[in-house]
Parts: sequence; structure tokens; C-alpha cells
Amino acid sequence: MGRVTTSLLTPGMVLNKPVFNDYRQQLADAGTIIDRRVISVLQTWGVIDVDVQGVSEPTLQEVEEQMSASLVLQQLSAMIDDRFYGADQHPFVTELRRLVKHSALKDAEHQGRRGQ
Amino acid sequence: MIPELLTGEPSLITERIHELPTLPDIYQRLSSMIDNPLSSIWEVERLVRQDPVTTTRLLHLINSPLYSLTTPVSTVADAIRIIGYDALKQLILTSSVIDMFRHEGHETLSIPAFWEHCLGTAAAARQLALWVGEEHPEEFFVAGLLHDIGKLIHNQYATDKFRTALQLAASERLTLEVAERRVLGFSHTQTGGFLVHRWGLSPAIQRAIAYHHSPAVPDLLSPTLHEHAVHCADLISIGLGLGVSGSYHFPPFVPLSWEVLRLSSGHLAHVLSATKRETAQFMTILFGDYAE
Repeated sequence: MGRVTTSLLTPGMVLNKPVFNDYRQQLADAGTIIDRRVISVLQTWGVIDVDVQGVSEPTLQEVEEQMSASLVLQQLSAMIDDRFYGADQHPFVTELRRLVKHSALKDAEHQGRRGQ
Repeated sequence: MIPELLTGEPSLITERIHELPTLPDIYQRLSSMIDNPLSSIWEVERLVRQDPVTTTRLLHLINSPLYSLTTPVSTVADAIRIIGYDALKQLILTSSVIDMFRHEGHETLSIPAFWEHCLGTAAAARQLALWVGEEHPEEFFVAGLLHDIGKLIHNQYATDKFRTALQLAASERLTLEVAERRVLGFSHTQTGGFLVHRWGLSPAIQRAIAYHHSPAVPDLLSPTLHEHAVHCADLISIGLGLGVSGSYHFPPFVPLSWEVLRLSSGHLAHVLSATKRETAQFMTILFGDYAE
């Protein structure tokens, strides 16, 4: 399973986990088949991304490999590493860094698509 | 009072105790009004309407995407009914404290960027509280917002030494807490805890501020969920690059916090998304152009 940005969801995808809003109210259950109505609900509540079946979540190493593809992404990755200067190797900190980098990569890709 | 708050060399701050800022009148009146079962929503509304800045920010907040309302809200009474008293108190405290320390920045500490870090921590702490099912997530928001307030007291009342600590943190890549202890003999955690104790905020908030870099083992006599949540929230805000904290070294993580909060990777992803969104909204409401 992996996380997919709400704006990139397509009908037919299946939610791997329930989706909640910021008030912990459930918006959609695990197993829900995505359709336009579900996408609209998620967008209305400002849900940025969701867990979808059949999409693999990249490891930190995989994200970093993807970020080595261009100078801009390399600089972005280095900037994030600088925030984590001296950080412990605890799984929480590693996961935090992975999520931050993955989110930055998706944002950059999204902006790149919009700029085309 | 937490006795450890007065260890180190606190005289620099305690000698000027009478100069320390007090909580604004509107927050104190609102708190006692809300705590009084005989007061009505109309009295609360009248009090809020007396303060145009608070009124504007309340209506901005309620009509922001954070509340996702389908119909715009235009009256203070409706806004209070929707957000509730806890969130109203949180907004007024946030708004007041930020206004109290809005203009004392310098080249090494930008005040809007400092508050962005604090709002990021506040939003993350509130999200963590929601995920563990806490009844009063707004209290976590306040604890996150004020977790670094001691830095602003140092900046205002021990300006030269604090500036030296900031420069030391930058030149040797230290956490600001370590640099403060070297230069001042004590850190913002002690001063911040001391200040909010004087303000009469709850013991849970005092502990969260005093121990956000060293949250304690939970026990029945001293609930510690707030300090663990603020500890993680601080790291989340730094990791997301929200504002500046004055540290040049990622703060040491206390693994116990993750065990106490028992969150999964999926929850963390949700907390990050919501934190970014909520922080951006609050920055727009409180700082306007800076956030845009």
C-alpha cells in the first residue's frame, strides 16, 4: 500500500485505510472504491493524500534516489537533510524524514505537471 | 510550581519578575466568564465584540477552509456556537500572545518565523491529541503554541546573552537549549514554564513547556501526555521546515514519546498533512502578507 495525493486519485482505486477529517470523523471506510463523489468529499475536507491498495510506499532510500534526478530536487533533499542535522536514527525520526521528503517530491512533481 | 524550574541561574529572569508580561484582560475575563455556569453565550459574544481584532480573526477563522463550512458565517454569536468555548479561548490566547511579542525581533530571530514554528508545533500537538482521542485537544494546541515562549522572554529581558546564545547555536550547530545553558546557565524550557505558571495556565501546560525536550515517564500522579505530544510536535514542525526555532541541531528524540502516543506511520502522514494546512491558515489569519 502507499499514499496517493487526492488530486491524483482516479475512479476505481481502492482505499487501503479509512480516511478521517481533522476532527477524527470518518469520511470513507477501508475498501471504498474511489469514484468522483468520494474524491469530491476528500477535497472538500482538505484531505491531501490517502492510502490506496496496490500502490507501494517508497523507502527513504528510494525517495532519495528519485530526488537525485535533478539539481533542484537534490537541493531540496539537502535542505531537508539540513533540518535533520544530528538527528537520531530512531524509526520515528527516520519515518518523519521519509514522509517530509516524499511529500516535497510529490509537491515538486505536481508543480512540474502544472507548469507544463 | 515545578521546583526544577527555578534551578540554574534564574535570578536574571526572576529579579525582573514584575516586568514580565501578564495575560491580556480579554483572555482573563473570557476564562472566568466561560468557567461561570451562570454566564450566557450573549455575554461572551458581547465581550468578544468589544475587541475588533479578535472579532475579525474569529470570523476569518470560522470562514477558513479549516472549518469547511458550506455557508459563510457573519455573526460573532454563530461563530462562537460553531467553534465552541475551548477553541474560542485558544484563538484569543493565540492572538493575544502573538500580538504581545510581535515586534521584538532582530537579525538572528525573525518573530513571524518564530511564531510559524510555534504554530506548527501547536497544530501538530492538537492533531496528535485528536489521534489519541484526547477530550481537550485545544489545550495541546496552547501548550504547543507556548512551548518556546521562554525564548521570547530571554530575547526581551536578557537580550545580549540570548543573542550570544543564538550565535553560538549557529556557529557550533547546537540546539538552542544547549547554547542557552552555556551562555545563560538555564534554558527557555525553565523560563517558559515559570512564565505560564505565573499566568495560571493548567499544570499540564506548565509541564509540557518545561519538559518538552525531556518528557517524563508517565505515572498516575503526573500525567505526561501533553509533554510527549509537544515533544513530538516540536520535531514535526522542525522537520516540516515551518518557521525557525533558533536551533541548528535537530533536538534529541525521546523514544518513550512514540511509545506513549502509539501512532502508526499512516497516522503520522495524516498529522503532517493537517499540520501544514492548519499552520498556513493560522499564519494567514495572524500575519496576513507574511504567509502569502
